[in-house]
Amino acid sequence: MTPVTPVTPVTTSRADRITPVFLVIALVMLGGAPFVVAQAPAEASMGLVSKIFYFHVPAAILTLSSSFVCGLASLVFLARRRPGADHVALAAAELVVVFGVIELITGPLWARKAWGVWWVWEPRLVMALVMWMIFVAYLMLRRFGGSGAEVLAAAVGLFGMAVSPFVYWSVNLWRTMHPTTSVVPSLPGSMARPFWYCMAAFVCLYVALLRTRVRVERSQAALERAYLALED
Amino acid sequence: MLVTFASRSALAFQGASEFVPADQLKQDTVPGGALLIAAYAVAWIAVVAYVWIVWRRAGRIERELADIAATIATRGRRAD
Repeated sequence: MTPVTPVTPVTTSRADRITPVFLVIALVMLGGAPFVVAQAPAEASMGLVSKIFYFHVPAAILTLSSSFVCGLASLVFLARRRPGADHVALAAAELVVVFGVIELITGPLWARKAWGVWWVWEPRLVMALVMWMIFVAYLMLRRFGGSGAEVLAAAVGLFGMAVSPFVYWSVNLWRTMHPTTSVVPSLPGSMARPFWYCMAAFVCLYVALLRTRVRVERSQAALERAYLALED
Repeated sequence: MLVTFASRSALAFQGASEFVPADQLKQDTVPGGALLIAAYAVAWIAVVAYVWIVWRRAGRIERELADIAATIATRGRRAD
């Protein structure tokens, strides 16, 4: 009779202790964020609604950053076909979509008051929407593409990463209503401190979510190996 | 939804075809505070929803792994 291969569970490792630390830090900081933001001054021309800045911009920065994580992991996967790289790429793509939703909804809420309209078909907004849709396409490929879709999705992830610099530089290259990239570096202290506080909170949240999602994907791969072992 | 946004933004930026006296203009009744609260609520809802989805998926995978491990262990005992 064929010897039975025991299922090896995803064992506890040092990463298990790091992820909860980041998650706790993120939740504590995000819980305190409303109080920190309340202390910050409102922007002179936009008033109270300008405080959306403290969530909108970190979400936007992480959307772009995660697109790079996905693209680089996709590149490693295409070059080496390492499953770990594919897991990271998938997790990062999901986070592009999640943080992109935050960016694309908080932005129009802010624009409604600041510009008088919910949406303007101008370079920054359109390119951000298109980049978000590229990563939605990545997830749909992974979900419905069947066997071998990881390779095609990795190519889509690379394309999404290539788009992201244009999203960032669009406000400097073309005439646009969106604030330029010089806003954050030129923030006065009273606004810079709450901004970097929220940015740190979002980064901790991102790291915790990415690591958690990668572990879940690793478990999924172990499950698929276990099913194959069962069939054998 | 995007079509509505497009049409509204197009109207907002077309050249004016007539001037309207101030007393006939609609006042902007959208309070900045409500938009601010809505924005923060969206951020929290998006994060919580994603965490919930991942947590449910992790739980399902763990249950299936445990089931398979038990099945393989049972088959191993029968083989012995």
